[in-house]
Amino acid sequence: MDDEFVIEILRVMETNNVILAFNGEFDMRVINALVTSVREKLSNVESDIFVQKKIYNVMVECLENIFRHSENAIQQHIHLRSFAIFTLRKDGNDYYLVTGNYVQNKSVDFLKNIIDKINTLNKAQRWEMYREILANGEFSDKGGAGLGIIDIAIKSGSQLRYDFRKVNDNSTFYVFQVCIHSNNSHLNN
Amino acid sequence: MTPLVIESTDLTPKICFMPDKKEFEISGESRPENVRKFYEPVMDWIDSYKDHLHTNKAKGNEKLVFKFRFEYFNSTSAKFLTSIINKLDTIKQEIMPVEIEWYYDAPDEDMKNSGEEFSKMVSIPFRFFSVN
Repeated sequence: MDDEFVIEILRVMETNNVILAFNGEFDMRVINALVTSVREKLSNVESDIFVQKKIYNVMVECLENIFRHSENAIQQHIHLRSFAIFTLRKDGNDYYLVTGNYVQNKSVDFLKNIIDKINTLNKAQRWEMYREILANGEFSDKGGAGLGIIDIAIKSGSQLRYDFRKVNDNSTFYVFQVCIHSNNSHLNN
Repeated sequence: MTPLVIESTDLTPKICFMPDKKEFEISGESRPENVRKFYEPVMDWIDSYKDHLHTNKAKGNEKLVFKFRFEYFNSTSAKFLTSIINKLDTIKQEIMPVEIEWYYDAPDEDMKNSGEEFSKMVSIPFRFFSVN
């Protein structure tokens, strides 16, 4: 029975060209292990060092976003589940990074609004927004003010996708997807 | 003025500020677990150095050149780098000329662009160098 389960997971991962998938509790130790692992694996699947670096940069920011949101949410709502999921897969020339984690319901509007806004901006406007947040944004020591998301958007050069699934009166499961194109990394978007 | 030298780790850059030699460089990767804890001593050092420069007036056409050689910095580090560059801008405006040399790996346009964005926030001249 367990054998079938494992084989099924393996089949799904192979079919979808999953480079890395992790589901569990995220802390700095886990993030560092995942980042190290992806760095090693990417050197085997991607020859363009610039693309490797882009994936690495975006991945770090995605994982830190999970950590940031989850930690804030958990501190305030102890019942929230602390685990999250991260996957990196390759589809043709595109790399997809997807995160899923629990956030407080009250964070949903902020996240939706900032991602929707970023998706309407071209490359120059994204940099302008980045500069504006850097100069004037309200930050905690862990970041915030959307700088991580705009950084991801700039480096990926693509549209960001999201999905929110309400779990209960306090928490929502937040899925975030970013794509990095490997055949044309100098995107003008 | 005592130098400030902090060796790099996997998560933090090397800081090498040696005022006697007029060498100031930050290099490596920056995604500290506690970014404030890492950068606060760096910012404090620059404040002290600014005071030192105020009392020991610069001679003639002396200038300070700060070198940034990042492989990567996360968005939280970017906020602290902004503060550091703003402090250097104050030195330039109040005391003596300051220049920033921004080094980046040749294909890493993102790193070059990040430097260009910092340069737009201050009056300090930036010089860009691609490294192969």
